[in-house]
Amino acid sequence: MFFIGLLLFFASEMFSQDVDFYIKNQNDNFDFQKMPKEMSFDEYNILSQSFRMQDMMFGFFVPGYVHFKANDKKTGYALVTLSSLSYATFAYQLVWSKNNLSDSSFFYNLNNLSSLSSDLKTNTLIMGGALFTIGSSYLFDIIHGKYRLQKKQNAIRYKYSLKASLSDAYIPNKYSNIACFFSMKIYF
Amino acid sequence: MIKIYILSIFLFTGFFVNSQNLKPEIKYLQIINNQNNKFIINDNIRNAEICADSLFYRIDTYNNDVSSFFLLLSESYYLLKKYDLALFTLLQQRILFYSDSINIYSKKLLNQCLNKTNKKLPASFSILEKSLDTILFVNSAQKVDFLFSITFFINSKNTKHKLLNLITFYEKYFNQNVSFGMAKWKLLNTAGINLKTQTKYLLINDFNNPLSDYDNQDLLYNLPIKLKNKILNHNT
Repeated sequence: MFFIGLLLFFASEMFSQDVDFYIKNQNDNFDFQKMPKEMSFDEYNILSQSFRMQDMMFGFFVPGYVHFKANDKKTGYALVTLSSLSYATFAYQLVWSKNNLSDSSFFYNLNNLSSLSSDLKTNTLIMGGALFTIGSSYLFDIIHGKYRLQKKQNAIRYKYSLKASLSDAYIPNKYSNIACFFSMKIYF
Repeated sequence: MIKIYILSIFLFTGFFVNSQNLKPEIKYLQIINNQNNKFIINDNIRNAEICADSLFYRIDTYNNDVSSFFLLLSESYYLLKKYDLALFTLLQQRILFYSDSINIYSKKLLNQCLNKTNKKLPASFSILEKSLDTILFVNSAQKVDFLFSITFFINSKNTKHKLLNLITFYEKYFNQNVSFGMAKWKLLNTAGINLKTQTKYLLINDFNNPLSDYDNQDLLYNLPIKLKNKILNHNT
């Protein structure tokens, strides 16, 4: 019952906008910010990403989702390959065991490993290994992906803000966007 | 007279603002190189390369900042263990933007890069190195020619796009044909000939060839017919 409830919760959240518990009053899509001249689209893209609970759910269906979000395509594709292979191995072993060995369930076999025949034991261990790989690659995707995203965002912020501070024309007031040499602004 | 004063203030401000772009880059490179954090250094390489490409256009004006920038960029490559690119950037600094004030450190880094890459520069460089100040008196086009002939002997995949950039700059800035050796190298590379074959058919004489009016047949004079046809088919 608990699992059905959890599944229904996740299914309903999949169709909602997000699962964060705060309200956005501002429409970010129309907030055009002043950005450094040398910033590339990739950098802009990384900087505008944020890790949300929704990504954890998407990551379950699309292996390597968080890494793709962090523009770490190499690791992302490695996770896709690893997960696909694990799913394929699990499915193949499941079909093979149903056809050749017994009708007993995988979880029952896993709990009674010592009493199984050698063929069934190998089959159960391979399936267990495949499930473990799927689970661990999912966790790796979320934890390492979030770490990579934050590290990249911090590097970009560090680079451009430090360069702005090092330049003599740096204006600390974030509201002034006119060169200080020829302009004057009055705020009320 | 008042008009001249006003105009000079505007001009001065323009130059001042223009020169500001390089200084933050230099200071930032100094900071990150000292930290020796490879992630931050690697993240900045793209920005530094854009800056370096724009600095080629200052080839005719002596500026110590430009020289320092190339040295620091080379140091960044060295810290990232991209020794061939570090060597190429150092050669750019020493040949195109030579500066006395950083000569000792630059020479030390050059020797370290040569040790790491197991490369030996041709004798022509060693001769010039003994009297590097004479490089200041050669014209800029000859400097680029010389850099190109030296860089070819580094023979690395990573420097390929840098050299193609250099050729584009040469044709655009000096508004003249590139030298015989450069043109031959460009022809071989655009046809996708590998580095091993290139070294076999590109000779030192090609870089010393003073011929300025040439066509594809002249460039491919010493190549076997099969290779020649492959290149000509690719370029037509």
